[in-house]
Amino acid sequence: MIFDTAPIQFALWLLPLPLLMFHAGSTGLRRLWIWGQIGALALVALLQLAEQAGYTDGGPGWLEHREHIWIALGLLLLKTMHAESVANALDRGLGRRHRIASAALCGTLLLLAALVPGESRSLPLLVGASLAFAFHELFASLLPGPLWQRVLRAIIAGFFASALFVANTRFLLAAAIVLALLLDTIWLLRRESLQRIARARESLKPQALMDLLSSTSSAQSVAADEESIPLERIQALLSFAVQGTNAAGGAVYLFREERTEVGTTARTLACVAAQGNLARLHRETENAIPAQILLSRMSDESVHAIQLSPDSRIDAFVLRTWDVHSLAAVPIRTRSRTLGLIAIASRENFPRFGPRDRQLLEFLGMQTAFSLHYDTVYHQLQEESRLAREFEIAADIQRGLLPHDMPTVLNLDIAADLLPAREVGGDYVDLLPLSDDRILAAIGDVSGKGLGPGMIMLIVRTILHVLVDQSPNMSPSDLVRALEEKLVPQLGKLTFMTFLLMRWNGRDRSLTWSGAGHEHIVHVDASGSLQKIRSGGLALGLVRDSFLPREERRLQLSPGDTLLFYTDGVPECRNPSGEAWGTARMEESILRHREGRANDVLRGMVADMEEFRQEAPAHDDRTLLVFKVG
Amino acid sequence: MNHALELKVLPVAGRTDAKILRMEGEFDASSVENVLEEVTALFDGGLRHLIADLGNLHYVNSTGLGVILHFSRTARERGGSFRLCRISQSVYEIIEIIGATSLLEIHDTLEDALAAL
Repeated sequence: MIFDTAPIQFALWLLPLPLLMFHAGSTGLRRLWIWGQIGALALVALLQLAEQAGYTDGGPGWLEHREHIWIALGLLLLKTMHAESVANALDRGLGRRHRIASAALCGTLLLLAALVPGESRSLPLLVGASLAFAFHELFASLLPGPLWQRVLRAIIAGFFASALFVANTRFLLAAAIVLALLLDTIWLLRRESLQRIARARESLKPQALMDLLSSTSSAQSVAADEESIPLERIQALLSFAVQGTNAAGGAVYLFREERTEVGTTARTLACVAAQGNLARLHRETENAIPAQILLSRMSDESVHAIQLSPDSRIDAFVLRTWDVHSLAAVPIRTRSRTLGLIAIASRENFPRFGPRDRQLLEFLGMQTAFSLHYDTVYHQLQEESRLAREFEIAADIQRGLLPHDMPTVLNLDIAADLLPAREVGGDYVDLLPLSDDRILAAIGDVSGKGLGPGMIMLIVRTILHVLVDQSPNMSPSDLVRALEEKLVPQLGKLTFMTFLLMRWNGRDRSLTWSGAGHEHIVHVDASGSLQKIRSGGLALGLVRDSFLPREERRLQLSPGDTLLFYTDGVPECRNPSGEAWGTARMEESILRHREGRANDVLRGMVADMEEFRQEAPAHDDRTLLVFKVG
Repeated sequence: MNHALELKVLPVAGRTDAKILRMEGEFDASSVENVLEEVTALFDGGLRHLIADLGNLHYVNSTGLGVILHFSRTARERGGSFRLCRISQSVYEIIEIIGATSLLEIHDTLEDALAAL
C-alpha cells in the first residue's frame, strides 16, 4: 500500500514544531523525546519514499503495518507537542485559554491531515483520534482538579480510542493513543505537584525580602566608594547565580556615585564582579553600554528576570557586544531605587534558561539588593544610633525570613517561631518542602551578635536553597558537608555556627538528620516518655582546613510523637534574678503541652518561657521548631 | 548577679613562655573585646603556652566559645598551646554539644594542665 500524500501529511505534522521549539524551554529529556519521534517519522517516511521510488520491495515484515506506525507516531508527536506547550503554559502561569488554543491547533492539524486526499482508511481513524483529543482537553479544562477526575478524563478519551480499535482492529494505534493520554496525565500531575512545591517555597521567601527592602527609607544611595561595597559577598552571590543556573559566566554591574568637578553627582554603571565567559567585562569598565541597555529593558518596578531574544535587534546588539549566545538578567533593586544588575550567560549547548533558573536569579537579585542596601545603611549610620539601628535591621532580616505559613507535608504538623533578642543573635530556621511527603527543615545559630551573624545567616540560607534547588535528593549529610565547604571561608575568625538539617519522610514517618554541633533534639512519644537525642557533629567553622564527610542519623517515629528543636537562647533565657530557664523547665513545659497540635505545643512553651522571664531582657534569640507526627 | 568577666594573668613558676589566665564570672559578647585584646597581646609578646583556669567561670555563651576556639587555633598555629582546666559541668556541656571537646586541650585540674606543658 502506498501513501501517495506522504510528504504533505508529514509536513503538516511537523508544522507546529518550530513554534514549539521556539518558545518552550525544553529540558534534555523532553527534547530527546521529541527528536526521537521526529527521527522515527523521518525513517518511516524515507522507507516510504524509497519504496515509491522502487528501491525496495516491501521491506521487512513490520513495514506491512507502517501506515499504523506512522499514524501512531504522528499522534504521539502531536500529543507531545501539545503537552509541551501546556507545560510551558503552566511554567509561565498561563491559563485555560492557552491550553484550549493549543488543543485546537493540534486538532485542526490532525483534521487537515485526515482530509488530505489519499489513504481513505485513515480518515475515520484520524477523526476519532481528534475527538479523543478534544474530549481529553475539554475535560482537562473543565476539571483541572484532583486525581479521580483526571483518571475519568483519560478513561473517556480511552473509550474513543477503544472504539477505533473495535472499528478498525488497529490495536497498535489505539494502544498508542491511550498510552499517550495516560502519560500526559501522569506527567501533568507530577508537574503540578512540582509547581505546588515551588509556590510553597515562593511563599516562604522573596516577598519577605522585598518587604524588608521597602521597609527602610533612610538609605537613598548605594555605596559610593570601592571599599564600602561588599565585593566578596557579591562575588559569592554571583558564583551561586552561575553555578545554580549552570551558566557559562556572569557579571554584576553596580551604579557608583561620583562627585564631578562642578559639584554635581554622576551615576555611572560599572562592572564590579565577573566570571566565566563574561570575566573580561571586569577589565572593560569603560564599556557599560550593554548593561545600560539591559537595564532599560527592565521596567521600573519589577524585579523579574528577563531573557534576551536574538530576534530583537537591540538584544542582538548586547549579545554580540558581549560575545555570548544567550543572556538572562535581573535588576538589583530596592523599591525606591535601582542599584545595578546581575547578568548570566548560557552555555552554548544549553541556549535557554528555564523558569527555575530565572526564579533563582530573581531571588539572588533581591538578596544582592538586600546586602548592598543594608551595608549602605550601616555605613551611613551615626555611631550613636548604630547599635539601635543594627538591632532593628538584623531583627528585620530574621523576622522577614521566618516562614509565615507553615508548609503542609504528609503526616507532619509543623510550627516554628523565632523570638529576637534585645541584643541581636544569629538564629536561623527554615523549611524547604521537597514534595508532598518530604520536607527539609533547618535550624542553626551563628555565634556572635549584631549585623554580622544576620548576614551570615542570609548566606547560609542562600547556599542551602541553591544546593537544594540543584539537587533536591541530596542527603542531609551531603548537604551539610557542601554547605560547610562554601560557608566556612566566609566566616570571621571568631565565628562559628551550630546547624541541624533534617529531612522528614512522611511515607514511613522517618526523620533523617545531620548535625553540626547543635543542641539536642527532644523527642516525646505518644505515651509521654521523653528522650534527648544528640544532634552530633562538629559546629561549622571549628575546623577550617579540611572537611570530613558528615554523619547522618535516622529516627523512626510514630503517630502522636512530638519533636522539639531549639537554639540555646531557649534554655538560657533568664529571669530578673539572673536564673536561667534551663533544660529541665523546658522539658517539663513540653510534657505539659504535648497533647495539642504543633502550634499549641509551641505557643504553650513560649508562654511558659515568657512567664518565667517576666520583665528581664532577652539576651539571645530564641528559636523553637516543633514537629507533631500525624 | 555579676555579669562582668574578670581576667587575671598569673605567672607559671620556672616557665617564662607560659602563663595562667584566670577567668571569673561570665564570658559573653560584652567581654569579648577585653579578652581578645589581653590575650592577643600576651601571644604577640612571645608567650607560647596559656592555661585558662575556668574554675570560677559560670557561664560561656557561643560568642565566648568562638573566642576560646580562636585562641586554641592561634596558639597551635604558632607552635604553642591553649589549655583549659577546671571547667564547670555547664560549660563542658556547651563545648560537648558543639563537638569541640576533641579540638580543645581540656584538663581536670590546674596541676594536670601544668604537668602537660
